[in-house]
Amino acid sequence: MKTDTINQAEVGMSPAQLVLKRKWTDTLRVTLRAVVKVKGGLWGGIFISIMLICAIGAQWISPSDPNAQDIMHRFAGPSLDHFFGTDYLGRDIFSRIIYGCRIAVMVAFGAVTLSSIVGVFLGVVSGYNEGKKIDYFIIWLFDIVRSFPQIILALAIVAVLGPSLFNVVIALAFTAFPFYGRVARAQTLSVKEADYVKAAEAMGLKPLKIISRHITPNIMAPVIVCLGMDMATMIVWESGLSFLGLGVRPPTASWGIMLRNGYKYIQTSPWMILWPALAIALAMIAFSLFSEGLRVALDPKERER
Amino acid sequence: MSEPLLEVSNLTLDYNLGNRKMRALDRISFTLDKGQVLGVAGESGCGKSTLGLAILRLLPRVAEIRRGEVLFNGANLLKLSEEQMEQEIRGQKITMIFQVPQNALNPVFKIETQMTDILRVQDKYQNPGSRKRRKDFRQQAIERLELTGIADPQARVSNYPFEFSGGMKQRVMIGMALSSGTSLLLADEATTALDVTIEAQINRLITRLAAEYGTSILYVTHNLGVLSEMADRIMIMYAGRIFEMGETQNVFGSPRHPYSAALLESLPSRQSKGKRLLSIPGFVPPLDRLPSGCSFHPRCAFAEEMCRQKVPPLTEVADGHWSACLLDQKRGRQKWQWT
Amino acid sequence: MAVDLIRIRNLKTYFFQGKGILSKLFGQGLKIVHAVDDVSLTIKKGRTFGLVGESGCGKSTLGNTIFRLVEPLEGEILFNGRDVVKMNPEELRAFRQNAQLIFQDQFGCLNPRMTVGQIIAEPLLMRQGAQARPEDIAREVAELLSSVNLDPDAAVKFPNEFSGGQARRIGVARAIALEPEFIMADEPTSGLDISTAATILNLMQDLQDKMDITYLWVSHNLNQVKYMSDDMAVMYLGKVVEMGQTKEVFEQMAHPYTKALISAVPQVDTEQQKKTIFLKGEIPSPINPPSGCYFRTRCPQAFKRCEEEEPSLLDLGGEHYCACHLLSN
Repeated sequence: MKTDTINQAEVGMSPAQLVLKRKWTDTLRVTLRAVVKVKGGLWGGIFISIMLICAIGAQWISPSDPNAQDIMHRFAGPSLDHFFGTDYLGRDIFSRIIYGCRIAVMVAFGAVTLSSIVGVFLGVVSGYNEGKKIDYFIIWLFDIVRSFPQIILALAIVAVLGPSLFNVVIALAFTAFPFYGRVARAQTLSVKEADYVKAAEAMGLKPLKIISRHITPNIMAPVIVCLGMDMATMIVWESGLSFLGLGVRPPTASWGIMLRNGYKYIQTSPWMILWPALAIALAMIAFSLFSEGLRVALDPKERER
Repeated sequence: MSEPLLEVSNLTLDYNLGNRKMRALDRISFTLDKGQVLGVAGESGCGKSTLGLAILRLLPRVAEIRRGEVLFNGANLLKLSEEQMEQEIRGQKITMIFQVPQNALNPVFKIETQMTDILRVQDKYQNPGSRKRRKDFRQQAIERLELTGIADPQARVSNYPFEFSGGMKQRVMIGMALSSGTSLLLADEATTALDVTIEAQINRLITRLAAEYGTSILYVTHNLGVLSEMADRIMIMYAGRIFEMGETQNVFGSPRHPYSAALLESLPSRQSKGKRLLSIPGFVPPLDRLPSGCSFHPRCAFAEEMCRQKVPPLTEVADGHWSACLLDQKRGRQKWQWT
Repeated sequence: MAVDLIRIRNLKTYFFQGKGILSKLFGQGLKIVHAVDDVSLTIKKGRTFGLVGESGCGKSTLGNTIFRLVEPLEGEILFNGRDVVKMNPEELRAFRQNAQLIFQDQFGCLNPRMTVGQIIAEPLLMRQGAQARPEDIAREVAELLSSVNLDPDAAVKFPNEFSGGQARRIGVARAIALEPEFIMADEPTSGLDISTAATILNLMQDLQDKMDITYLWVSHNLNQVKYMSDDMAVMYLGKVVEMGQTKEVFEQMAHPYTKALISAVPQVDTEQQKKTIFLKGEIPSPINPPSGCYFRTRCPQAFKRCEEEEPSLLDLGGEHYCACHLLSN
């Protein structure tokens, strides 16, 4: 059973380097290649790439300024001038959707990165020190945060800190980190019983090395899958907070704000709410498909097939 | 004179995995007489487990039986309808026990529930219209447990599987598998996971019950020692083919195939300390890339040019002793001396 | 005469169950699993010590205790005269580089996310630290792989691309990387086919001859222990019931358990087949071992004294020890 291995020619490294270290870019390349092989993973990947391109190059891609008002052409339906139509201030919805990508991506990546780094770190530390004081303390911390309903907690934090992009990221990250911590801790508990961890201990490897080389890489697969799923959730929450007026401040283009502005005109100008809703739904599906692809790609057993 | 219970002839089976075709069984022919124990031995991937599953037609979807027939009491099992298999054969006349009994027992139900379920099904097909009640089945389950030597069956029948040790679970499985209606028992590595003293107990139990009911056994294992004590006849398989078949003492005493001889010589029990064990060079070939001619020739110390070209047929080299080696004739009775 | 490498004196490893608040509240009380119960034995340098017994007899726990992967309750483990139990973390690390483990699960002991090269290089890197040159390490890895009869190309592959026998050899290559004095092999051929197992046994024999390694061979396969080991001990419920030179134990077995165990091993050769002694029942729970002699509940020859008094190891001469009341009568 030959597998999708990285042979020397493929990555262009000397044998000595290959034996000792693999560049993370190669790992990424191999993983991504495996993801797009999975059914749906490709579509998820394509849509996420489009979102990323829109987010980075919004000012070059969007046909007009997202905040430029054109009162003469309020509530214009989709046309060649305005692909997606205009809103109640005559702003180009297409441009606003593209700029909204930027907010969505920033919130999703920012919140997920922040919460997963904190969560995984705490989770691994507590799992590796199972039954010790530090473990109890970390679990207690997780439980406190988790005992609040997530959306209420996020609302409260934003309300205290004041609505802004940065504060939304902080609030969402804070509500989500115990989730990663729990996953990481549970994984650590099972991985640390594996024979290869025992072998490393029996070899005399230091605990920090064992955590970084043997435990963390082997718990990351489910964490990364959660990351993908969570991106989708974060986008929805950002929209939710913005919809309630506690997220990004208007007039910044955000999908949530667009929904908030659009719902009043749902009967007369349905496109105002249609496009942002579609964008949110597509983003969710894309991240779900992609994370499913990741799950398969990151499982050494699945990869074999 | 013994009469045949199971006659397998020319059974050929492929696994179709995507674009790869693996021949898991290649022209398997053998007979199992009533009340006999036939041992099947070989290394992993030789098709010995597939054989049992093929007889019960419990194969995965990718498997395809190419040709051959499996005559059981004169009826071709491969031609029976799925319903007939279910109602008359599986779990009734032919039963199977597996290596890992814990996987065969559902952890959330009591032993009693699981046993009575089976007994009820057996009863339904054997005596249609019988009006046995729950209590009767429970009693029957207790009797079966008692038969398999489980102490205090009255109380144990209400236990859950996790309260039983591995050996006891295997006893439960045997109790469910063996009844007066069973004429063939397929045992697939049934004692491999058990400790030696427990293994000895279980094997004795299987032999005893089988003798009592006149059940024949197809005993699949990689443990040659167990076969030597249990089996009347032995079949050695390699890469989907039968390499040697015959009476146990003949096959183990004077093997006529170089592969069987090599297997016996690689056992530590036959060597004194310090002497090297025979290690057959190379690996068992993957089934989709079998070598030409005799599939064992690249690893065989005696291979000649003709082994590369011609597939050796299974021929009777002595009375009731079959071997598939082209060189047998030439060598006569000379031993296969590997080292 | 061979020098003692490891001397174990009165080693006890217990596991405690039900320490939590809930079990205390609901009155289950503390359960003590007597995994290793007062074991003393000596492993001689350059030889193979076989440890046999059925599952749950504590043979693996004993091995893990030697490496302090499990902490003992009391007793001492002298390795080259130094007590492993009293070592501080720094000394323990040094000891662990000199003593290695080969695990039962040939795939489980290899990190699935590291290449074989990385796996084998790890101990080498650990010893040489930051000044290690990648070329040297790669060369050493290639040498190690060829010393276990694997292709050096294997270094760039992942463990799941190998067969069971090959994975086992990768584990052996890692174990010998630091040229240890002592290797514990826990069921090293479990799950392997007959001919593959033979290859591993030959390999380990060769390595012992070449590198003068001492093995602790933990196995339930008596045929294998008879073939591999010079000395052996039979364990039952955490205790050593018989111990001596392998030849001596097999020829003049004294303990009823040893007799039953050896007689139960299926043999291929019909002339070797003895009358199998069938033991009653199964191994009792190590939480509540029987009083007196632990084996008495299954022993065909048990009598009154076995119930009352625990037998101690008796010297039968020629370094052959056995714990049974039948011998002192």
